[in-house]
Amino acid sequence: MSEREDILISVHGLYKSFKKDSRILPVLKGIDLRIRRGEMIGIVGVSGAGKSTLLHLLGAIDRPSSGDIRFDGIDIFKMSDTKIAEFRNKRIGFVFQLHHLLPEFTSIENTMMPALIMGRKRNEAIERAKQILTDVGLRERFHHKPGELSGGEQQRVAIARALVNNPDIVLADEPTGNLDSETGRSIQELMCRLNRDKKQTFIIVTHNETIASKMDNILRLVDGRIL
Amino acid sequence: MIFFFIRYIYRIFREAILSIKNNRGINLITIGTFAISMTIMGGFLIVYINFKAVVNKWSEKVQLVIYLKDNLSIKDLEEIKKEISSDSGVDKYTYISKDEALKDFRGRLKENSSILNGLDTNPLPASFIITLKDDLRGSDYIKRLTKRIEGLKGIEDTEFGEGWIERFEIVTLFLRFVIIAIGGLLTIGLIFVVSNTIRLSLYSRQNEIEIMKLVGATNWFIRGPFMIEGLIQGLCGALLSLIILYIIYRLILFRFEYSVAILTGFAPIYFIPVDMIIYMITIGIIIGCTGSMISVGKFLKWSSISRSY
Repeated sequence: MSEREDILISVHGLYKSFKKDSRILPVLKGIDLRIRRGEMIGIVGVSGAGKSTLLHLLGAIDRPSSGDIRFDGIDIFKMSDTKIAEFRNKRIGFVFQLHHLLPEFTSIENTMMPALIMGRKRNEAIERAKQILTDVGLRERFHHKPGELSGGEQQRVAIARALVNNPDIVLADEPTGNLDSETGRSIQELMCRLNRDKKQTFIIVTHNETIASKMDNILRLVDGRIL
Repeated sequence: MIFFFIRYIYRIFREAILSIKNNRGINLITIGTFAISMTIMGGFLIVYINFKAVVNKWSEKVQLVIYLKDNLSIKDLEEIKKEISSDSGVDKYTYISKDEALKDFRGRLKENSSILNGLDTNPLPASFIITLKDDLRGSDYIKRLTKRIEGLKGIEDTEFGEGWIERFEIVTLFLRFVIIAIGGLLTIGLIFVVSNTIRLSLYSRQNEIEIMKLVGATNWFIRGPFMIEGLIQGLCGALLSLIILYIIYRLILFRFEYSVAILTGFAPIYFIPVDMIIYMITIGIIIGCTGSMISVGKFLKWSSISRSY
């Protein structure tokens, strides 16, 4: 595979500003970036540096003020809302600091949700969810609801859900942010293992330098620019 | 395509029912709000329907009497009859001959009727008594009709209780205005209360909407179950309100039949007619469905999601 084909995401001249009380607040001030398939990248920086904003743009949750993001060569912001939703469903997995699980649903149901949205049959989705939950070490927790799980276990369900559709990339925003250091380390080890074994591409926003040091590549964001 | 559509419908119904089961408290509050608002509206509707019935009964007393000259030729009489029967506003008319008028008068005088024995001629005129159709019993129409008939040959006099009709019209106009004003305010209140209840119930589920978006659900995929949920809430609320109204209606009939009858001038008291019941249910469904759709729409915008991180 040539170097060029290996590029999963390329970002060109990305600007993003927010309007607040009629004042324009620039957050990202020209980001250029290339992410290779199978890479594990950490984004670090003080709060307000634009880490989460960059992650949201990479996941097509928000639109940039200018610049473009190409995913396998395709400009994602030229797509319609429906196409973007489909793209997000098939190719991107999200993991957030707050676990963002549906409280009324079991681990399996939470995990299979993206697969159902993708249009898979219920039985297939259940099988797939069970397999992934086993991979992340939750074989004994299939039928538990989020309230019955520990913080670390909830985050494992969130990771399983992010992986269920075999996405090209997993975007994680402070995935260990509200876990104790021991649990945080185990989550980080899980992501490293998935990256190593399944060649899963990860972009992880973190404050934690220990976690960042385990990454293939670290992007330091300072005042809306990459250092 | 059709297969996909059926699967979509099946899914949104299943999800909506699941969600109603999971969010029982919120759903009960919304259905309750619907039911209370629609009971007030429906109660008002019953008052209005019965008010209209009473007004209608009263207005039956609006009659136009045409007194004819004596010794009218049969040709002139036929002419007048033709004029009356050809008028589209006339519901029915009766001809009372001189003899019939005298007989009627005698009947009313009862035992005192002997005072009429001394009469050698019949002083009472022959007449037509005309009743107009429901919606044409206003003074304008009667005046126009009277004027036309007065132009014919052989008319002695006309009478329709002008002063009474005008007072009656003012009173009903005023009552109608009050009823429409109160009804309008109630409708606005209902929409406001229901849409706020739906929005509040969605606030607690904002997280759910965000998650669905993050895992790549399209807007319609998310909206569908919420709309069906709103539809079911509206339907249940409307049905519940109809049950409550019917119970109240029966209770009033049972407990206060006599006093209500005096109030309405012994007109029967009606419940909401079937077509209005269907309208009420339809309105409940539409408000529930569109209310949910609009409220969910607000949460589907990315700005509300991004802000939470």
